[in-house]
Amino acid sequence: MVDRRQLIPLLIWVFFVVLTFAWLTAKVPIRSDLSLFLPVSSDPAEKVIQQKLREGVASRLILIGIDGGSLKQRVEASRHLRQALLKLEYFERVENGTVESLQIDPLLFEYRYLLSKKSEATLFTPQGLAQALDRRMQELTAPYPSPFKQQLPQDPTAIYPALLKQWLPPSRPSSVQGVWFSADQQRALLIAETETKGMEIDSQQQAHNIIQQEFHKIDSSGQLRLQTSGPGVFAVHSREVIRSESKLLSLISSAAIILILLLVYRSLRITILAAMPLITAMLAGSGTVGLLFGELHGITLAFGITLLGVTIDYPIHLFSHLKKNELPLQGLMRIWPTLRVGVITTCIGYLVMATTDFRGLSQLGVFTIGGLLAGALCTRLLLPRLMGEGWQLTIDTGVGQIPRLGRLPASVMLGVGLCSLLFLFMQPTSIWHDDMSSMSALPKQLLKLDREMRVQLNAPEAGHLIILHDPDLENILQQAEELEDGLKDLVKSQAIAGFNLASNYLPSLKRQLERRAALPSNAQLKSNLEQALTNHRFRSNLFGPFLQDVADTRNLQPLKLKQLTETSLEQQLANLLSHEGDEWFLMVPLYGVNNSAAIEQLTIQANDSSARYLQLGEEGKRMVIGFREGVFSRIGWGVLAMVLLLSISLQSGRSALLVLLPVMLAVTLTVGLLVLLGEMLTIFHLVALMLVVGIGIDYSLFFSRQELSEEDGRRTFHALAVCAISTATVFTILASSEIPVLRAIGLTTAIGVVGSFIASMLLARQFGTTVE
Amino acid sequence: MRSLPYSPFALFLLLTVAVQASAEEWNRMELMMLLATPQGSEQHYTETKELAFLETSVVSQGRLVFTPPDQLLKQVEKPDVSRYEITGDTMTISHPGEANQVVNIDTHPLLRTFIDTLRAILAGDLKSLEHHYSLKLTGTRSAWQLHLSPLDSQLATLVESLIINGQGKQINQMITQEQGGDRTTLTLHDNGG
Repeated sequence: MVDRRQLIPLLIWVFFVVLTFAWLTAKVPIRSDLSLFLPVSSDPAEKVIQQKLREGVASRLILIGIDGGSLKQRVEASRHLRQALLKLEYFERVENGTVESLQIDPLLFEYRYLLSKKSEATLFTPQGLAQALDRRMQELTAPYPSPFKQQLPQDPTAIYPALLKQWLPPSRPSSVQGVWFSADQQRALLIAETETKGMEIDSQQQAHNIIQQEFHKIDSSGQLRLQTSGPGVFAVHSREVIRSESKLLSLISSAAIILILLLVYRSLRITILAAMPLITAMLAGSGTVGLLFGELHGITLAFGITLLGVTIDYPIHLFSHLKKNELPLQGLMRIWPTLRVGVITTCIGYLVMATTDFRGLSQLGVFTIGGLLAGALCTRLLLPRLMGEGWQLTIDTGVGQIPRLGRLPASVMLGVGLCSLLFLFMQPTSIWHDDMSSMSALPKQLLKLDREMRVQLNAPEAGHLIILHDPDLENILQQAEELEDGLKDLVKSQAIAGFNLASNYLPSLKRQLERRAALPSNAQLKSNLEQALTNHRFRSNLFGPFLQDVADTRNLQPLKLKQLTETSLEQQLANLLSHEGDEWFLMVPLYGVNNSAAIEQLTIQANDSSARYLQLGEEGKRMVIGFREGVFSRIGWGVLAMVLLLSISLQSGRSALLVLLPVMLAVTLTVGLLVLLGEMLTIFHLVALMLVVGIGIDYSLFFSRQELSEEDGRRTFHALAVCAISTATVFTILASSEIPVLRAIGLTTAIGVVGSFIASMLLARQFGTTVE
Repeated sequence: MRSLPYSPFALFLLLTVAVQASAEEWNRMELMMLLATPQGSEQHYTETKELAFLETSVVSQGRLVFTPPDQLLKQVEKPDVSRYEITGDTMTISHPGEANQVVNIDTHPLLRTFIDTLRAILAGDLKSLEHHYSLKLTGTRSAWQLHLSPLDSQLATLVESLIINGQGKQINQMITQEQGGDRTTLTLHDNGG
């Protein structure tokens, strides 16, 4: 079957395929973390927050929910799961509300009088001490054990327990039998912190698998359900869903395409040949990204492959346009100028994407451009040679009959387009989905579960915080202390439910020195204590350690941040304080935000402070909008470039506009239909619309060619009908995906392709022109 | 810091082993059935706390009311009035002239164990006591002693042992021996007496 003239190009192709594949697998790492597909802010404060969210402790948290079964089963399961996970090295900590026996941190105990807000002068007066001793007596004689009994001789004023209370988070989940639960008691809640960052998907996957394994061991009845959420889980889910969905969908699409090609051309060889540009395109796309970025993102690969599905059009053009007994190369050269313009205009569309600052999208753009060009080249250079001579395609002439329609349908089409435009302009609300979550590849119910569990855990309001910054740590801590009264007022007026302030754990040096200076002298304290003890039954010399500790505190140097990082407070502080470049950033998470205006007011009033109120949801929206507007202006330039290119190829500006008219009509119709279907448009709909423009121009160019004969016209119709059917089929399959991004691309392209086909057929033929 | 009651304790153990043989037919099952109080109980008590931190021991008196399955009220009447009421997971503490304090008994792990123990003893629920303690029953039906030593190491750092003395279905005395030598003796008086 294969002679020598065919063998050499085939060998070259196989060589290219093997070499590229080998290079890709050996040298180009496939990244799977998600940060690439999240926009990055240009504001330094926002950047710090984003980094915290993506790489900090927050990114390592896995929220675990246990549903189903009885209340008792859920309580038991929560306790056992915690025990089981704590034994494993994958988790730094696992919390479910269980209080461990009190560990008294020697360092914090030593510094208690400098750290506690309660260490005011009145505490050490005879009255203050007598009151404290009354309390201690009550606790000692209470019918239950006092956890701080051992510390009584050192800490009769119970400063240390007060400190522990001061450090409790502002709000905690409700609990049943000491285990965290949702308020309706239907879901037991746990938080696990993994050893590794949330964006490191492989280790997150391991941690996630282990949670599931341990849970199944515990759930012997099989009545309980495990729910997990959090950044790491999202990353794992995204990858899994994208992998399995794109695998399944591309399998179904491939099968569909093969079936269509077999039905149309009735030749296995043709079907195999048609796959070659597609394979070439995918390898070349991956290769180009590998060369330019040094890495390939899994999501780029998954989405890019779907976009490159369109390269199947190129061989279809070649096969369908071929005349009886015509040499394949001859046939190709007849349509090549038109095809070339189509390819280049599509590439211009993706050049728009490739030049954005959003790394995920620019990879996707580069991937598509590399792929499209390689697919076209493969069709141009390789296929005609491999097809050989004496080609005979059995095209059913019935299928190829072009409907000759008059001007009426064209006018109707224009009218429909105008209606669609009008419909879009009359939309009362924005047709854009500008939430940051619109960029997410996650199924909606996962995001919903996450929000639900965060509310149940009484976590701080996601995305609401006050941020302070200063080059000097002492300054920033003082600023935080100055802010405290204002924040307390906000709690009192119920503008917020609570807040978490770093200076609560690490007071400024100034504040610590003030507290130190306020401590009474030895003699003073001794006489005060003696007065306080007159009516008590405590043994006379019991409180010697207390006197000694206060005396020692007067010689203490204030506690520094470095010392705290070795205590249990490290975790808390790492969430609240951050050193980036030359700046310190202090973050104040807010709980239960009711009145954003009041918070804004507070930060404005604190005029000599760097305090700023950040609403990440709003900032995120602003970023998405800004980004979209950036893409829009680029699209403007892209369209201009297309018009120019078309004008040059068609040697007429008017013809260029006429070729573009059906395309614009198809885009308008597609957007109108999407909105009518209730879709909120995202950046990914835009990506797909770029593809629609490319495909549409291709259809429009071919339909508007002035064919030499009736038969040529039929062949064009045949080619474009097969292209449109196969593309629409593939993207309809894609539209069935539960991943919002794939669905967006699939739905938009499927509608756009059908629209382009109809519009081009009705309009372009009326005003036909030919690429010279 | 620990006082060492080990040798008397060992002696006590030897004694109980010796007595056990004679009490063959008197077993835990029987005690459990005796103690089970479906309607609950209300008794007067006298509590003596001997604490190392204090010069003298503290004696208080009041009422102890148990309503199955999980309600427990300790009303202190002398020397000062105060009230501790436990329902399910919460304990409400009232001192006259002060706002009520509501505490989740899980805020401190030993608090729950302690309260669960007390409830289990009053309910005659030896099964759940066996989760936390190793039990040793000695004596006869008319004068028995139940000795509990903590299994949980956390609890053991605080409580050395619990000793319950009783006759028939009546609990007479509960002695909590803490590590470090502190001791609380709770004597229950028959309601009629």
